[in-house]
Amino acid sequence: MLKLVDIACQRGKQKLWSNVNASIDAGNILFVAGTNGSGKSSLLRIIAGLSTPIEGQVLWNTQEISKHSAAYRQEMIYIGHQAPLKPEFSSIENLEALMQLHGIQNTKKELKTALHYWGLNEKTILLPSKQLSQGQKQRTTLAQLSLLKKKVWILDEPFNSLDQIGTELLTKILEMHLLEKGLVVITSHLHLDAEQINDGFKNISLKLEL
Amino acid sequence: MQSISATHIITSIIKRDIKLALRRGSDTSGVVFFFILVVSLFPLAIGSENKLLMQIAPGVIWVAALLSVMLSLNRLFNDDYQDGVLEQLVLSSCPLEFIVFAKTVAHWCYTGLILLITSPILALQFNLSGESIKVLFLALLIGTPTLSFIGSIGAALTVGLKSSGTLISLLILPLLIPVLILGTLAVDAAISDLPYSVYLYLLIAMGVLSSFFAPLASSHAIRIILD
Repeated sequence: MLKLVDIACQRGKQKLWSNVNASIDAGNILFVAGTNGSGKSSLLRIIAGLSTPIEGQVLWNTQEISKHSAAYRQEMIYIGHQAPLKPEFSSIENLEALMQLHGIQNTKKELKTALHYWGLNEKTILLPSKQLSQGQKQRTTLAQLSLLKKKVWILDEPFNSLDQIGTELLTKILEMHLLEKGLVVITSHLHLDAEQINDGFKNISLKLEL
Repeated sequence: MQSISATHIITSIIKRDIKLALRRGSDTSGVVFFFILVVSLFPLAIGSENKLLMQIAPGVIWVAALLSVMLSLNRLFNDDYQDGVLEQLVLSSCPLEFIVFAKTVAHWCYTGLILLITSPILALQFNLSGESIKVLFLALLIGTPTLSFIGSIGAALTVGLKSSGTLISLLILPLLIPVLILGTLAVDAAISDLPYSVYLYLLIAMGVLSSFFAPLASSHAIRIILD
């Protein structure tokens, strides 16, 4: 269970928000909503353990994440708003490198299957990433989700630049993850759409307005 | 799908970075050509007086090596920062200190190692004897990893800055003076037929110390910058 206790965030000298509380149980999804610049990404970076909040704590299974970061990182994946891909590498090389960072070595076949699932064809996965569209880059990054068995998914604007089919694929995999008792923290300015796509989310989603 | 250990992650990062540098090409070739040009300018400018050339050779080659390595440092972490990979490195299941170590080793492979290979040929321009060239080679072999390791601190401190190149040089060059002095002294000693091994031992000591402490400092700087 992931718990946010009274956390506050500061950017420069300005306090962005404070007293944010939330508790996310297994099988729950937390939608973080807010206007541009309201600090959604900052909250996600704090939950991922990349930044430290100026006040409060983030607890994973009652332990503070900063003190048990190695154990927490084993169970968590964070995908930022930027696809972490090397422009010179192809999708398949990039995916392999990202998976290795998580401590997993995949076979070429597994990588290909995952990328095909995300709608990237045989030719596309061999192109250098600088030649790919934003949507294709995003799909390459999201392919990690199909390969990794992590409990906590922290996704910053994952629907960005995805087309209709991509959005459906992501929604489907999110649903499956929640059914398997995973946790999701997500920001999206399309959050209403995401909720509309699937009514199932409504019952299990928490919303946090920043 | 197979779980891999931290050592395996480290080797995969070294391989990844070398592959990336080779594919880009400009990283390695830029450094090497800069090194060759700077070193070759001296005999051209000073003339072919043998004794003078021999005297300045160790200093010239070491200073050129230092500057060439500086030239390539600003990309060490900055590229990963720009495309968001640095965040993933920080969140990896392998501790960041090991990852920084791996990236620095890779940096040495695509810069220092290449300089090392070209150095004997360049040394010939300065009329150095076989024995002195051997010592120059050894000193560079031991000394260039230290340049990469100490340099990584500067690269980490300037992640995300626009004009990081100049700042890295200002931060790091003073710290590299001991390597420069020991490196040139070793070759000078060899030229004048004096024992040189003590300088090489001191260079080894610096290398060992920097390979341990530099990744600690660099990863701390990266964590603070990403916070």
